[in-house]
Amino acid sequence: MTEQLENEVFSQDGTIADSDVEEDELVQDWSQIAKIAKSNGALTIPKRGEKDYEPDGTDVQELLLYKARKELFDTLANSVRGSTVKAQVKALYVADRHGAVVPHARGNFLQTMGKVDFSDGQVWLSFYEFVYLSERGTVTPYWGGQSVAGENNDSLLPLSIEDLYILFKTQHELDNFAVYAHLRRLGFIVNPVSPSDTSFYPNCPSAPRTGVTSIYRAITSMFFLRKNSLFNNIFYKQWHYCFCKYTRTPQIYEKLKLLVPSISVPKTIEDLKGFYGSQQDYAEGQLTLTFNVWKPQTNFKKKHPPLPDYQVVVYNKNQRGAHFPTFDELQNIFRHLDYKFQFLSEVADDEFSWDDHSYIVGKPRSDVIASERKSKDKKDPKTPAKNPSAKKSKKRQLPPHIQQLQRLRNGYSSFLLAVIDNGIISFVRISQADFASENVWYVPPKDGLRKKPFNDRKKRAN
Amino acid sequence: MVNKIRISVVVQGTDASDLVLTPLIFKLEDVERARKLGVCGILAGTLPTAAQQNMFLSVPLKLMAEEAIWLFLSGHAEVVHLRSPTSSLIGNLIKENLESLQAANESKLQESFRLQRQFKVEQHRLKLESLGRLPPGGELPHDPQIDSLIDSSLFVETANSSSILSKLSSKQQQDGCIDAQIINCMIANYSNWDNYLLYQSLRENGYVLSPGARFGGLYIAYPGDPLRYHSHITVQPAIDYYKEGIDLTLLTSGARLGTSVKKMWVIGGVKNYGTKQEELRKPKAPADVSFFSIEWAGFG
Amino acid sequence: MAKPKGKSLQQRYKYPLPIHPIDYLPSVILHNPVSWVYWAYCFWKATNIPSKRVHIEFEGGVNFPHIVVQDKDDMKYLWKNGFFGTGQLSRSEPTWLERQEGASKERSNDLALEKITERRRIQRLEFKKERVKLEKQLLDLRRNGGNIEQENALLVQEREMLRMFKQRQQEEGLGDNNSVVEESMIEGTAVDHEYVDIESLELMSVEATFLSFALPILDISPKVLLSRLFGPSNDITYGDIHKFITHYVTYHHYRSLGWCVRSGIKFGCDYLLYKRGPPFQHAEFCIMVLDHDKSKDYTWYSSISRVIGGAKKTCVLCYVERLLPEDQIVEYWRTDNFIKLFGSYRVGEVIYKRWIPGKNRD
Repeated sequence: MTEQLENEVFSQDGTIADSDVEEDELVQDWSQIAKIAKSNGALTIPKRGEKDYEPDGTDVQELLLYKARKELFDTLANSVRGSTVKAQVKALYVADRHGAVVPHARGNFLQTMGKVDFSDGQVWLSFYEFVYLSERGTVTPYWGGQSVAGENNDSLLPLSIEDLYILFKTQHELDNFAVYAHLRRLGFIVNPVSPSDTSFYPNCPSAPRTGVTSIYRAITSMFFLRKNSLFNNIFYKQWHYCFCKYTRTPQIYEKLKLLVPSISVPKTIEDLKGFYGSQQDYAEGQLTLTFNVWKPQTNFKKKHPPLPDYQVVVYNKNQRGAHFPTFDELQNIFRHLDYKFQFLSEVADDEFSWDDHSYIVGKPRSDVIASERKSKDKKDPKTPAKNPSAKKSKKRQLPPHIQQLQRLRNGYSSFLLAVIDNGIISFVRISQADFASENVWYVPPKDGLRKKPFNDRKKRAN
Repeated sequence: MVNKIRISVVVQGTDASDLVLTPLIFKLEDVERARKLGVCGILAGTLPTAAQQNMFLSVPLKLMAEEAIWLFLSGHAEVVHLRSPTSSLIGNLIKENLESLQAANESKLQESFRLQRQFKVEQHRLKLESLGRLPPGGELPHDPQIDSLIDSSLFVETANSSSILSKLSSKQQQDGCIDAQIINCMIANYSNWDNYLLYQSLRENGYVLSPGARFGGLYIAYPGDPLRYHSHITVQPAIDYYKEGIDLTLLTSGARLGTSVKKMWVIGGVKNYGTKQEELRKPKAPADVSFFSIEWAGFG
Repeated sequence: MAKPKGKSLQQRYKYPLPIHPIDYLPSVILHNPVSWVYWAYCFWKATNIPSKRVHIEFEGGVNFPHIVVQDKDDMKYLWKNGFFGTGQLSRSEPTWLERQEGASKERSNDLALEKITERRRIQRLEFKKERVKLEKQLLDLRRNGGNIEQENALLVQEREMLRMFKQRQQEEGLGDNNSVVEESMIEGTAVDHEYVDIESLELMSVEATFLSFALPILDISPKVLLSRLFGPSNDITYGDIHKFITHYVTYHHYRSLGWCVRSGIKFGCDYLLYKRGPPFQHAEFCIMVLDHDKSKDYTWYSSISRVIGGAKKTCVLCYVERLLPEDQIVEYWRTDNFIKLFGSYRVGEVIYKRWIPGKNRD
């Protein structure tokens, strides 16, 4: 019950509101959360509630304010961070590695967080994971020393939340953490982008590109332009109508279209490969892809994750020098995208297997997973189970004009921009659009040839 | 003398080009006091008892540059700044004060355990009383099983505010000049003095201000505590209204947005008499700040 | 929406552009050579260009000229063939005269857009008055020392009353015409009980350019039109014309794809895209024109996308890039080489949409 309540938030008149939609329109009502906090708190000593403030006078408004504040601060006070002795998992921060080692790692968080360091066989948490889990109480933070070698465990000093936040090195890191924690709390799986990620592209991005192929790629990928036609010079002169007679409106549209070139957008796998290959290194101060994000899921394979569902760019709007990306900067971010390009599966008629299009160090993910499973099941070979999450949903075929509208509305490749405004996080989805690839003109039917639909007469009668 | 509110700030870089990280408040009492003074900030830490949502969060409290500066200039807060690399700062503090820190920690832990044990034993006794298995006011027999149960359920708390930093020497903590420099850096990194003047002026008129980018403005203004009121003003970044113009498209869309989210679109300005750059850095007289509001008329 | 009497929407707005295709040729009877000759003759005679050009006038000062069409038939023509222009005294379609005449005749059940807006405004005012009354009651209770329970009870009661009030308003709907406030009569417009149509159709500069340069509809050449709008071409600097060119290029781009492009001022954006036109469906997309190498403050994007999102439309950022140097462009302008001029800009689009994490978890 508490889990359900946590995911729903109550607005002032008792109706349930989505915690992310228009949260700014709702007045925060801590009374419901206060109840949850009381029932969830592992520390059972009541810390507040007995001591009372005296409200000023009998002014009802003052009283309501006093009550609201009391609920807020009581809840905060009751929500003590930490863990019971029984469940305690200690994490030791090591300054040189800017991360924490977890000597006796156990718990569900290991499914999506933490990495085993092969040199010492221990589980290490990244700094984001360390702060996030400490805030939650899943691990208790301790000072582990400057480098790994030797603080002995008994004399460990616990760290406070303040100590952890002091250890952030840059504003960038602090902002990234805010987005990390925001998404993690909602159940998403979040990891920083790194070169060793599962990729949509078979060739490693850092593979040396020979001079010739890179030039070729540059030529073919940069010139997605509509061709300017020589015909333009005639169309816009009045006299051409003397000998050019248009019998259908689309003919006129086609001629008009030729004037303004527009940038085409990758829509197929081949397009995407060319586009990806033409990426340039990020310039100094530019916004970059920071996180890979997966929707909440069980059976997340930490070592060889599937392609991320989203990729996130973090942008602190208040920081001097930070600016909303220009078009060229947006294009460069688009070129770096390497995630589950959902629009591909919508175009495909039959099942689009993402595993066949995910590559881990050049090998298809389906192969990697299968070979791992094979080595695990050496004792008792079973037929590899089909991925249970592969839904065989029959896509309802929508009429073409609706499909076109959806294509236009959703765009193609996209990324999420997480904007931080003095601590408030909002997300924007930025997608590539290509209006020039969709003609929406209507063809009026030829007079006299159009048969009125049968129902039309019935409608008139009414 | 009442202690001041403590704002912690990490400063990165050399003196010449300091970068100041977001000012933070960790102590709950300080969060409360700041709120009563009209500075609400944004809570940013996971609430452990309801960890899977983002609407209700706990400390640290993130402050806007304007909020931190206002608290400092009005004498309510001290800004504790720590120069990076902070890991070596903490490492050194721990090394120098290891024994006293450990002793303090141990005694705090044992005291907490003692109180918890006492409480739980009492709860257990009350439960037995209510079940009738113990006479009222009776003694609880010693039971090793119960003891070990209680011991394993003892709670180890992760504190919000730092005890390690309390070991900073008084010289390191209080240095007024550096504070002013930090203030200038903060403003330079995240805002500007004109916007600060708008903030100050609105605060003097009793408004509580919060970041307003998602409403198309710099701040949103509440007539009081946000817990009880809806904000009804969106404040735009300051302009020099004697010289700068307002883009009409921005005005139209701002007014339209204001109507749909039920907020007044307000733009404020500071009169710049063309004084020298250095003078512009210091806060000016409140009379130099004016506000204008624009509404979409005839919209019903 | 205003319902046209008699004809269906399809028939009334048959042609999406003011240039009509030649679709009225006689049918050819294959075995009859005379029909061939007749067909060939008709084909030779036919032309796409309309027989009469639309005349425009320039109103207002030299600095901000308004481009207006005053002839009634021309106004109707431009509106019906692609929904160009806005009536100066109406919301969009120039219906001022009809509304004035309709006001003095028998009330019909058809309501123009303007009447609907008027009615809604009145309803909102009445609702607000009601709410203020109830708020005063609440305040009085507080002042007289009512406690929290009483206040909550009163609040619940008031909310219910307001809900019922709103429901009643919606049921009344727009049917009650008698209490609709008369549109203010403009003096001097009634001459012997006949109204003089003082409304003109105003064209945006990009619309007029499209109807002069891209399609030969107006009786003015692009050269003359643009010199009226921007001054003699010899004095032009690039900065004077940059905004206009980027906006025109965008306008042309979307028009040429089949969209009906109209002003987006009421949503705080540059253009609205309609699939066939305002009478058919609401606009789907809002376009903002931006320079490809510039960036605006985040609050600009957030504010605009919020207004657009609130109207359930999609926000499209259209970036325009100049492919040739500035002085080359100015040279084209001076030599009236508009084809090369407008063809030297490239358009790229991006969709900007708020994303709610909580709604995207499955």
